Amino acid sequence: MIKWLPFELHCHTVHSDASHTLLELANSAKARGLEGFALTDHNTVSGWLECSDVSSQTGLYILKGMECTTFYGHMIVLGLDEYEDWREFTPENINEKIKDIRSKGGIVGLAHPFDIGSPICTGGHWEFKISDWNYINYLEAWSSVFPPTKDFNKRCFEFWTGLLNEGYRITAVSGRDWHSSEYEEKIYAVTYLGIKENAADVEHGALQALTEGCVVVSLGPLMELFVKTVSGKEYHIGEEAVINDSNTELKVSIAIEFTGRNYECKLDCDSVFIDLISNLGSMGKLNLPACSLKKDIYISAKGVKWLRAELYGTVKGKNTMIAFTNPIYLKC
Amino acid sequence: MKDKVHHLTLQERKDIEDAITQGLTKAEIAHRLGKDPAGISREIKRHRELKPRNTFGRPTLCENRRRCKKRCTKPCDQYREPVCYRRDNSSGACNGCEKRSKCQMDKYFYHAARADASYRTSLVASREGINMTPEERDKIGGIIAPLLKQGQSVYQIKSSSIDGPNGFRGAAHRHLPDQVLFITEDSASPGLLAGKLDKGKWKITISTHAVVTDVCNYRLFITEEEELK
Repeated sequence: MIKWLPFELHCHTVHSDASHTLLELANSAKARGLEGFALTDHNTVSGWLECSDVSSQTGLYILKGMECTTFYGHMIVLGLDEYEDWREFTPENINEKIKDIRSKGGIVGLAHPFDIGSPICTGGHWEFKISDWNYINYLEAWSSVFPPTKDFNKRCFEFWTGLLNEGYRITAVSGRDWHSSEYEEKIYAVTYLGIKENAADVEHGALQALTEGCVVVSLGPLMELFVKTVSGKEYHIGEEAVINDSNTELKVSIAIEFTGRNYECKLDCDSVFIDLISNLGSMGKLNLPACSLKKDIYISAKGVKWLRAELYGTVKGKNTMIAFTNPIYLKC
Repeated sequence: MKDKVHHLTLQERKDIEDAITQGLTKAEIAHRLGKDPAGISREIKRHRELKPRNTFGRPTLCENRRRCKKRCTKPCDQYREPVCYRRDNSSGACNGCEKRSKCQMDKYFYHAARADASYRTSLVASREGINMTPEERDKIGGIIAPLLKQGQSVYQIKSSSIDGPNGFRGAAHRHLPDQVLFITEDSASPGLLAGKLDKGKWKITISTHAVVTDVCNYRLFITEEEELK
């Protein structure tokens, strides 16, 4: 059984260049309906000292992290208990550094890799050459305000799809790059992390979800995806489904929950549909009423290497993607 | 030359929706509103909403399906998306089409109210960051430009990292032009790590980010104070 918790994976405080303290950040995160967030201050770890106090005061789960703000790219590091010196990162040694972080048990995510770069935001655009994408845990496929409508997010999303097609298993998340607690009537995305029952605690479960790809990104509604093979075994998001014969049919179940979270965006009920995407392109579309439901569909497993669901609809009059799941991988 | 379509009002959008429902072509709609046909075409194409057909468990709807001798499989290299003149060309949406209850193709609908909401959202989004009129921009530019030439600093990010003899002691990564940072045994500025002030070599690295000028000057003072005021 998986428990889905909404997280925000990119937050700053006064410890770097944001205007709110950790407690203010936690309170506004709670007001938005989040269950937890990752503290990722630029190039420092001094905020970590306040984490346990704020966490017990607000009841939110806080992941300790850091945004290594280098001149050639911003990299989020989670799950380490010590400072990682960004000053030593150079285009020559970046791949060794990433391998080193991974070997210490850290999680590496690329922050807004397609954002505008120097001189407006030095390193905001990822320019390092990655020799092996297997060492990167996740990409911020969505960042900033109303992410699915932003061009740099569309580019990043396409790039992610390309990596999946090449066979890499990389998680896509959303990161708001939260700098201020001032209330704004804007649409932000959340990252739902699937916490497994057997996880030691929620923090470890959240990091495990990020490494395994048990993640759903959404403007509000939670969308789950399951694949059931002929043998009767059911697989969830991020897992690898093993099929013995590529000519078999797969039972794909999509469950959507529109009422789960106290989210602010109103969805237009008339124009919601699901697009089931695989390495072969769109596998088919499904019209839906905008209410919580579960649908079963059958597809042929032939040639399918990964499968994800995307939810489209109208938000604030805009036709846009509302949510996407991370892939279920298929192995023949 | 007809009026170019820059900004449409809600009423004009409602007129467009009514005209599509009546089955008028884009050119006729443009003529009725006194606008440029290309602009009307763009407006419909940009704001119509897709209502796709449900494809799962249903026969493939392929343009070649009557002529094709192959067994229908998914995916098929000869598959061609079916076309509809009314949907794709003449009015560009399915509002009011008499065939729409029986039609099994992907449909597009134009809703004036939602098109207007979408237009307003885009309008706000595209003005974000530089939400000012050209006059306001010139006025602000007139104040800033001479000061920059005199050497006034702009908001650039300085990342001041501090290393003590026994390791990293934090960093302050922020915009403020004047920064006063302190570090003591039991407290420190946000970003810095409080702790024992060991004897030995201390190192301060100043890194600049987001520099938009040719030169970035800085001065660094380090003072030792018994009690912090």
